[in-house]
Amino acid sequence: MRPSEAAALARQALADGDSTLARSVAERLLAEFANYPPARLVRALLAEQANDTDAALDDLRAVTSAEPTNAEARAVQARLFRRRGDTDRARMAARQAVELIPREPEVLESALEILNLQADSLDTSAAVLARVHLNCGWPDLAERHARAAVSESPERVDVRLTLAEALWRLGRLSACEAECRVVADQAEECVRAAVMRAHILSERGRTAEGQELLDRIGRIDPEFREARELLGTLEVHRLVLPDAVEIAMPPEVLRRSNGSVEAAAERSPADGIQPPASLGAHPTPAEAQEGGGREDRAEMPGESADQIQRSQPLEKLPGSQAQGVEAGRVPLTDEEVTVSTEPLSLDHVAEEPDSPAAAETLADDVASESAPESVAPADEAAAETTFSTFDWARHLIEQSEWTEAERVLTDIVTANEPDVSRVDGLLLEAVAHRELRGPAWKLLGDHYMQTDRPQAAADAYLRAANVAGRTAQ
Amino acid sequence: MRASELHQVIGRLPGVTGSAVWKAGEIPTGDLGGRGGPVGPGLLSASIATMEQGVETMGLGQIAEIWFVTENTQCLAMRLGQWQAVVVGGLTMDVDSVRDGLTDLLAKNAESDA
Repeated sequence: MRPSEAAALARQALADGDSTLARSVAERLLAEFANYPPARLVRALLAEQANDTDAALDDLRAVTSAEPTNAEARAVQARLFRRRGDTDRARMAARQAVELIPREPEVLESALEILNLQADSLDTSAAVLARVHLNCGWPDLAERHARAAVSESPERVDVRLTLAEALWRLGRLSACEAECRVVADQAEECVRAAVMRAHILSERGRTAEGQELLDRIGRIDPEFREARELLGTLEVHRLVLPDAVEIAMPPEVLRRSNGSVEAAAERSPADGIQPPASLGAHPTPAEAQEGGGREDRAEMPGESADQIQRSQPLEKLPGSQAQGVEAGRVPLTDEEVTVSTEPLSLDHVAEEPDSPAAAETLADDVASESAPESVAPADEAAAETTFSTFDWARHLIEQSEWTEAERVLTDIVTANEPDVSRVDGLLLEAVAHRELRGPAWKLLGDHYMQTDRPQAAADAYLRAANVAGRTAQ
Repeated sequence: MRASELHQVIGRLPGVTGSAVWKAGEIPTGDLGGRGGPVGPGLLSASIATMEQGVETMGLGQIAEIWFVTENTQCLAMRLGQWQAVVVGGLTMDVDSVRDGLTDLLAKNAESDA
């Protein structure tokens, strides 16, 4: 059973008044994932029912640390503060809950009841406008209002997170990173901030670090729900989302659930995490711009046109694994290898699978598409050669000609190709193949050293050494 | 002198059992006496360069040399201009004389580059 299904089962049990089942499922989940927010929330609700305010608030602190924009947790906090007689904090938490625009009517009602307000008498604050605009896919407007909201309430971590996300969607990665750091200071387990930071690291060529950070998120969000939602909006990224984990429930829990597992599964929050479901609400950073194509992103502050242009060939080239792998991601982990070693969809080459000329023709096509018209003949020839080499490497990988592929990859690295991100992309594709992994990690280390990224290089070399160690064993 | 040639010459310094040499923006070359296999020189160079980057980021300046010792190895890393070298040797390696020899070699190389 997926953790989200189990959490949905626990919520259903709670709603049906079966506290024992709800507790049992929540505890089972927390035994596996100690800070899993949905399970913590169930336990907080159980503690609230049992009048154990302190325990409930403890759990809610963990929930809001991981998910500062969890409106339900804020609403429950508000009820608990009121129960303690702490009216100010109750109202503050209730206002936060309302401003987070909860989807569930009962959460909104609960918060409004504490604020002693009717929904239509709510004033529209900058924080609300920021959320609304972000949800509508207008990050530039969201940013403007989020900045106003931050200056009004600098202590509000949820507002900071909204600002960070708006910046991320605008492609202003440095500014986003700074906001994410502030968020992490206040909510150190914030999953959303961590996902954005992981992506930013990978965009800067520190993919291994980004991947490590993403892997750590799995301890809190084992299904990588937020990561899928955020990264699913990108056309291409280099992070690998691990497969969804399953959790074994004790047979008595399954029996007691009386088949409600299936029903719970239908309502599972995980159903809402697939990219298509969230794409509408959260357009890609590129789409968020008017007429949003990749070219438009080049004009975004904080991201140079050069960076965007560099990434284009990887996406455009048929046969790029960035196309073959879901959401443009490139597999990195050992677990991904079985998936990634599927034949690449090198469409043009597939028509004449054994013909290197096919790859070159394709390269020419792409080169003529991509190269500016005013390019000098010598540069044009160089560009064609470069495309051919990259495509040829991909073709060899597709044909499982590992030795030759390694040689071509070595040539590419030795040539110190100026388009750094293209080489990054190609080598990251190569490490996904078991037979190439050791040399490809080493070449990636070499490439990182050439491009003055020693930390990433050290990581890549370490991976190469680990692969060599495993092979020797 | 190219990095591979420089590596050969450094290998002749007394007590040195392995070395890696690189110029900024190039791939480290050499071998560490078989330790770490083909990845060894890169890994050690990258680790030291990471430390350098950290030190520079903290505003402490640029590291000119690093020396460390383990239970069976001494390691000396030096930078001179664009060139960097890491040498390893046993506990009996005379670090002072190796440092002098290495400085001399790197300086000559930096001059010939200029």
